Amino acid sequence: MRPGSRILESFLALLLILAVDCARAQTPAPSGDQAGAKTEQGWFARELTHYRAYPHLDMAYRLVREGDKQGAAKELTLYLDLTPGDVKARETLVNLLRELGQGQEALAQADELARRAQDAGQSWLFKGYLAQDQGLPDEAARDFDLAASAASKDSDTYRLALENLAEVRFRQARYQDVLDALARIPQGREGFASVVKRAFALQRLERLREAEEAFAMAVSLAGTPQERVMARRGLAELKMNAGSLDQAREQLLLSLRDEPNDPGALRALALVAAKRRDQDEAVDFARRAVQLTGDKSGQEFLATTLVQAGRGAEAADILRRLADTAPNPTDKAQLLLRLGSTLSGLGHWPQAEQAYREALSAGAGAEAAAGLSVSLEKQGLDAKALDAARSAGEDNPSADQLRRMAQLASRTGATAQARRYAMAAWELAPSRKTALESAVVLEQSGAADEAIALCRKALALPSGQEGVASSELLEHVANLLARMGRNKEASEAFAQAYEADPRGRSEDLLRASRAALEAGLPEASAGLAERYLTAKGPAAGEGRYTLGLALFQAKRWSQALEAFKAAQKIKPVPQTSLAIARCYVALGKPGLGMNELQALEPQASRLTIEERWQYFAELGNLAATDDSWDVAMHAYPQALAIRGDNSLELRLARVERLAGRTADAWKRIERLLNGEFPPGDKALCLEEAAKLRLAGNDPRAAAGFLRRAVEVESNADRQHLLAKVFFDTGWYREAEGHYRQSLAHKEQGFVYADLGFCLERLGKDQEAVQAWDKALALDPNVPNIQEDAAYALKRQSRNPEAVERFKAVIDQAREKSENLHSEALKNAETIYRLRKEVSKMEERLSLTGYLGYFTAHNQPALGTGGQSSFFSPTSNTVEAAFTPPVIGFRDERVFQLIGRLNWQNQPDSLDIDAKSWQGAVGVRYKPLKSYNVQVGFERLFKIGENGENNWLARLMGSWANGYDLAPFRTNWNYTTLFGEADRYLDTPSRWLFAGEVRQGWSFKLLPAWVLTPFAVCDAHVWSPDDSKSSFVEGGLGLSLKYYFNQTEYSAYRSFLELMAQYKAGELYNRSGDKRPLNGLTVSALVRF
Amino acid sequence: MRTSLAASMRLLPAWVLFLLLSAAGASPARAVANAPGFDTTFVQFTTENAAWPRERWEALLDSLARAGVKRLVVQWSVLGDVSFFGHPAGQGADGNPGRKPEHKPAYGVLESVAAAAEARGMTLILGLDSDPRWWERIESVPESLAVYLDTLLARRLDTARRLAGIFRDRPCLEGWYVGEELDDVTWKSAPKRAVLANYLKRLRAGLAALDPGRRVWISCFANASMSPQAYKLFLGGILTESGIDGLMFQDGVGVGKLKVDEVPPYMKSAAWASGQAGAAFMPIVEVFEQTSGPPIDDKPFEAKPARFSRVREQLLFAATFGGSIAAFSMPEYASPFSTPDALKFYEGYLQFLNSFIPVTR
Repeated sequence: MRPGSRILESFLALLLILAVDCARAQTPAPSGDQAGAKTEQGWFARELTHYRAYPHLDMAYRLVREGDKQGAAKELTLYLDLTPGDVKARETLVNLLRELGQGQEALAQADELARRAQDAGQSWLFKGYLAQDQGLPDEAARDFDLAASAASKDSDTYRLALENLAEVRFRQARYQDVLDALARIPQGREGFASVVKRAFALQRLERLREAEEAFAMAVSLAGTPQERVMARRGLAELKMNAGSLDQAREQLLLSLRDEPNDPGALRALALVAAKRRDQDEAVDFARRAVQLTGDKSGQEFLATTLVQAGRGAEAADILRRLADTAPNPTDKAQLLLRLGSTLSGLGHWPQAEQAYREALSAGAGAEAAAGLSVSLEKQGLDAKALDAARSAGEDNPSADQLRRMAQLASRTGATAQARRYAMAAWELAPSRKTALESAVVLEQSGAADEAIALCRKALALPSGQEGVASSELLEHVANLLARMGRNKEASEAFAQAYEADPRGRSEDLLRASRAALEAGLPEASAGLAERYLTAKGPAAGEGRYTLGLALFQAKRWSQALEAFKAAQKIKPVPQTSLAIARCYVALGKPGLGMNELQALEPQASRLTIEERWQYFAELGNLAATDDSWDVAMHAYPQALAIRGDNSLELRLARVERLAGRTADAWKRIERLLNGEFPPGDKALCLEEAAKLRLAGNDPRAAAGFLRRAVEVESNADRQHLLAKVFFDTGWYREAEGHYRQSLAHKEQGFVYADLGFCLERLGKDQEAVQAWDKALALDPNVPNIQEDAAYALKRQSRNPEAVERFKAVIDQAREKSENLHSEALKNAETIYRLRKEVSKMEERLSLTGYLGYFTAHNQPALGTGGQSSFFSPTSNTVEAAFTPPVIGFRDERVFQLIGRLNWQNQPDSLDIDAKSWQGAVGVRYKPLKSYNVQVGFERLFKIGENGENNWLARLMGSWANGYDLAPFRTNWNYTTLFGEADRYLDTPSRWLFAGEVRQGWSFKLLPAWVLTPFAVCDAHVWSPDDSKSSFVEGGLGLSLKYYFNQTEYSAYRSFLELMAQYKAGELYNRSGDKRPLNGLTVSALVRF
Repeated sequence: MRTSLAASMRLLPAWVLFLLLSAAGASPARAVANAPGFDTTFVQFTTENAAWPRERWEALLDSLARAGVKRLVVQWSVLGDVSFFGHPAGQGADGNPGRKPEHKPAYGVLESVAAAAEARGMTLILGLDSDPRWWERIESVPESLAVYLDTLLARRLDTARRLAGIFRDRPCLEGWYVGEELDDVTWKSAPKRAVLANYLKRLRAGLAALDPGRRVWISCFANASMSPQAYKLFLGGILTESGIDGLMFQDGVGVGKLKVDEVPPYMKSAAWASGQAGAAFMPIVEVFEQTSGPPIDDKPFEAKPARFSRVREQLLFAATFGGSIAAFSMPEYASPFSTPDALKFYEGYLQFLNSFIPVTR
């Protein structure tokens, strides 16, 4: 300091003293010591005292300015010793002593000040300050309150006391007391400090609107930029908390105008920006704050902001730098912890592990170990993570640590440890939350039962601070049970969870319903689903869908369909379409099911792979039963492309066969023949192979496959098919066996019919008829078998039964249409044929009469009669033939008893030659079924003179085409052949050989009238020809035949034939004019 | 394509009507459109109604005429052994059956109804024989089925011949009705389908020979056993092969074969099949609701008139095909001559018809 200036200062100090002294002289007389001192001291003494004291005062202020508070206090003490009444100086001393932490001394000075200043308010005010300084807020508050009480309301002391009281209460978070204190400050005397304090208090009390008004008022009252900044930041905080981020930002930006370099405002702006999700701006403000201060906390704030902005790597760099330069291990450890956390957030687990390890080295404790554990766990190093977790817990792990250790132990397979940790966690902190978390570990450790028991035990506990409700626990139990497959209990638990807290837990009802469904309790499931719908509302698509599933499982198809349709209306998803299709199938409406599935195809890609497989498989199956081969051949390969399946491929092969793609089908089946199948499908595969071989005209191979098929699985249809294959290949015995096996599975009319045909082929007519009878009993419309049975009975000579059958067939045939010409003709022919059969079998006695007239003079047996003339054109015959029952007609083999009378007319006359009567009785037998060959043996007896007694053996045969009436044709060919060899056994023994051929054409004149012109040639050869009657002749003839005597069931039995023939011939053993045999023969033949 | 477009355009007004009415729901306002109503109804003769006096039939036909019916489809003329025509003296005053030469009971109700219908300008489509055991018989294997159908064919043609004699030169006979009611379960197998087609072909030919120029109708229904696509092909094939030139599709809602919303794909299939085969198409709307009988229970078939709201839906959809619609059947379920419920239905139906203001063209 310069000497001049020092002199100046001394001069100024003197002036100051004089001025002070003058001022004191003008003040009223003080009381107490001060007044006493005044009275005791004279002017000089005062001046002297002043002169002595003033340098101390001057020094004191000088030292204050220099920051030497201790020295300043000492100087002031000296000054006040000399001048004890200087209130101002004492105030300064009190303040200095407060700042120097000399509370007791300050308090004593404050008391002195109060005494001397005669202002108790001041004293209490200072006492309040001191109590505050000493960390005695309640005392400070009391003192400030006393200060206010003691001070005049319009004094500064009063205001200051209340403001300080408010401050103390604010720090104590007694915000209402703050407001009460500030409310005592008279209106108009409120300063910025009061208002801003009130604003903060109101803010803390959530009286935000009032707080906002107060802050706004504080802004207007702010006298300095700093005050405005404070008010605006308060307002900004208020706005930020209220979510008015833009307004908060605006206030903060305004505050920056006052204090452009306010790092606090910048950080607050960064926070607001982060909340506004403007991370770039947040980082920008935080960075500006760092640039201003460069302090560690600012950098940490920047790091935090960067992390929030997703720029963790940059944050990690900052934290790494800070950690590396940390001033002490504690800070370093903290920074490394944050670095570890940041790196964890980045998923940089090895680097995080490193940071945590460094933190541990720097002295960080359990938190670092826990972080290390997590980073190790994330690297899949569960065992090491467990070790780290253990070290984090050390000897006294917390419940959380135990839970975590339990989880890690569970994952490392140390299940016993895991259970122990989990249970220890529970025992350490038995709460619902612990129970839930431990239950998870217990389940993972294979102790699901214990987990359930734990949760149930926890139900007895209160819900606790974590707010784990009973419903949550029950839901967890239910989930555990569901995962264990104990679906019934799970369903009950879900329902209980809902009942424990129905509000907002309706989903538990849905889960309960699904669990019941899984448990195979569809009715219960449906009930729960309906409750869910009641709780959730009818538009809950998931509920409708689940209800549909339950009803479907309950076989309430129709209701299930309605539920699925409702679900589909709410939210159309392909799974529901699939379910709808299945309902239709279950309801016996596969067509609609297929329709639904076909419509679903464009959305099939939205199904899961398994669902898609099922979709295409089901579509294929439905299409196959729908005969929609193209659809099936499209769907099956789609399913097979997803997942191979032999059974499905087999069905594809079947469809290919039915669609005519037998080559493709056979290739597929060949591959499948050695494939794995369920037993039923194995048999189906073999059957399919057989059908393909049949289609390839290889019945032997087909039979082989079918044999194997029935060995795998025998059923009626398969046995029947095999039998038919054998039958068609002529293996009737094998066929019979398989027909019978088919019938053993299932009695079916057509199988009995086929068995009958087979037995017939085996010659077992009786069994065949029995089989056919069974067939007819089962199905009266089995075709043809009635007729076959009739013929079989006929073959067995069971004629009456055969006749009845034929009559039945005739009845059936008559019912057939007579309106379609071609069918009517065929039908009528059948009926006629059958009636002829009846006629044959019903015939017992027939009479045949022949009457002839011959114009030629020569006669084969001229002048004779008897048997020899039987063959003469002029011979007349009456023959009765009796077919005895039982033995008479046996399957076209006919045995008859005959009696015959023949005679001869006089030449050129119809007069009977009385000598010619000849009688005969005998038997006749037709031994062959298909050929009309007959043998006869007769006893001839003489009646007329020319008759003879003899034995006659006969052999006759004939063949004819068109001899009978053809009722449904107008004309037809007429050919007959006849031959006979007779042997007369007694004398005169002889042979007769006779034969005749006719060829003509028949014309039907009327339904029963037939005219037949024909050519004829015949010969009679006697050996020996004693009577020279052998002849040969030929000529033309005309026959007119009238049929009659038919019945409903039998064809014409009788006819009358008039015939005229002109033949030329000769009796070739004769000579001369006896030889020619030319003439007209007229004859009439009646058969009745 | 042009044909298809033309057909679509022809049906357009019907579809628009369907949509409008469906949207309108039960709106009391009168729609300006031609009423989608029944111009045809089935009539089923029974031994009970065959004994009705002629006046009752005439009153019934009057009520049907008031409801817009212009055509009667006689379900059968012979049911089992009972003939509803051919009584020597027509319908006896006492209603007792006479005896035909073949000793079957015979009534003269068909002649009476035909005369009454003729007098009211109505036409008839005549059913032939109906075998009460039809459904049982057709379960047989194809070979047996062929035998049965042969027998049936003969009976049918015999009946047709006798009917043709009665109705010769009478324009009131519009066509023949083959009441087999083809379904999509029985005829799913190709061999049986072939037997059926053969039978129908012969029947069609027989009828053509007896009575040339008259349309032959057959009816069908669906159990949703075949897919609509397969059903379409089935019906198309039958119509083409047999030459039958009229197809009626019975919606099956009354007996629960199909629900109302399940009818459209099948009715469309039937209509398409008819179009392809050049046959006429007529939807049949079941106006009853089965109350007993299979498959509900083992009791005899019983039914009551359906809710009109349901029938309204059926009717509106049937109307989209733009042609005649047959009711099955108004005399029992929608007339003043049956039950009180039938009377109620009838009145509701008349009200429904009156809710339309006819469009004049």
